[in-house]
Amino acid sequence: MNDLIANLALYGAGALSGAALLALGATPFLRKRRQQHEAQQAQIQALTTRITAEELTTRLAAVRDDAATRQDRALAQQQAGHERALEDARREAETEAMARADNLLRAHEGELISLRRALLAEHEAVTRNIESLLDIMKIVERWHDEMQAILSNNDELREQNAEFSRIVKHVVILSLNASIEAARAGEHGLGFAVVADGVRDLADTASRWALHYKENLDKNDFITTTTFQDIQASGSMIRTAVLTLKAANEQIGRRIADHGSAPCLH
Amino acid sequence: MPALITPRTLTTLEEAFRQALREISGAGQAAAPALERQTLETLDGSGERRLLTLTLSSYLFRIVLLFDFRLDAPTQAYFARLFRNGDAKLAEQALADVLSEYVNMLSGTANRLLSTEALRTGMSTPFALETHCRRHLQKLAPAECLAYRVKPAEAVAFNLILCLCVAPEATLDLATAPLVEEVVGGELELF
Repeated sequence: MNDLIANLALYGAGALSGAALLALGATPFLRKRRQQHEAQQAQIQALTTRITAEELTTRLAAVRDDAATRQDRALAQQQAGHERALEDARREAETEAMARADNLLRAHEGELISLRRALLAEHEAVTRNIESLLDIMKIVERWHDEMQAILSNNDELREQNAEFSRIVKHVVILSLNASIEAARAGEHGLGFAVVADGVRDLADTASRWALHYKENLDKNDFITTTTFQDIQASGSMIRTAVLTLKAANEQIGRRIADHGSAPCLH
Repeated sequence: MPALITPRTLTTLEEAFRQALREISGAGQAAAPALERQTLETLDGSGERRLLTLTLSSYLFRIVLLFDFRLDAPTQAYFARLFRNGDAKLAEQALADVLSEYVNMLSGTANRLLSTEALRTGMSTPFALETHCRRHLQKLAPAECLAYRVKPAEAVAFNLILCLCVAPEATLDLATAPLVEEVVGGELELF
């Protein structure tokens, strides 16, 4: 028991000594903090008593304006930088596009020159063929003349047949007259009557053949005339078609020539 | 296979000649010349007559036109007035010329109405034939024959026959744009 009490006393003494030492060590630190705090409070007191509310507002506004001005300047500088970059990019793209377009143009011009040469050659070939076709029209004109000769010949045949018919009619009349005279002569005229009848029969037959022949001449005339007209009309149609082709070909030639003399585009 | 002619082809041909008659007569719709469909057998063949033929040709067909005029006084007077400004009686050659001129004008106008960009036709000059030649139409081996009695004026009439000859195995299909009613006159006609 006595030991316990002695220990507790020792502990107590030790604690008190420690606390005293702690207190002695902490006192300067605390003193310093207290001094700093008092200084800050004095500063704040000094600030709040030195600047008025309006002045504070004005100073704050000035600071804000300054900040806004700095911000606007920074933004403007940033925008100018972007614009310069955009302009540079635009110029670069434009230069590249012009270079490409120039290359394409040269390539197309080369193709156009080749095409124009080929078209000119074809155009000349077509022109020669058209001239040949127009020469063919001379054949049609020859057919026209030949058909005219056939029609003239038909007219001659018709006139000859008409003359033949007239002669046959006269023979018929003569044979009738002969029959009449033979009848007057009575018995002496019997032989002559037979001859007259024979002649009349022949004349009638000749007359019928003349009619057949006339009919055939009419058929011949009709077929020949319509055939001739077909040649004439077809020739006219072909000539018109060829002349239309010629005009179109000349138009093509003018267009090729105009294109060849057009100013260069670049 | 025989040639084929579509029904509208016949209508187109008839309308072309109807319109051509209107144009060259200068008549309005109310007094338009008459074009009456007939058969070859019912056509008038009386009196002194003059037959003229003219051909319209294309690649695959031809149309042989026969104009059969009766040379009576009203007919001669009509054509004399039409072309010679009032001479009532024409000498034979003058009458032949006047009829040829009429046939040329009528056929040319019809040909112009039938011609399109796709259909090219040529026209011959008119020729006079013996009247009896009309009996020999079948020698042309036509695919179709259309017969009309044409009355260009009061008391004046002539026969018009259209013989359509089409290439074997071809199809003839003529169609034109709607024909205008306006009468064109006083212009140089290039057929």
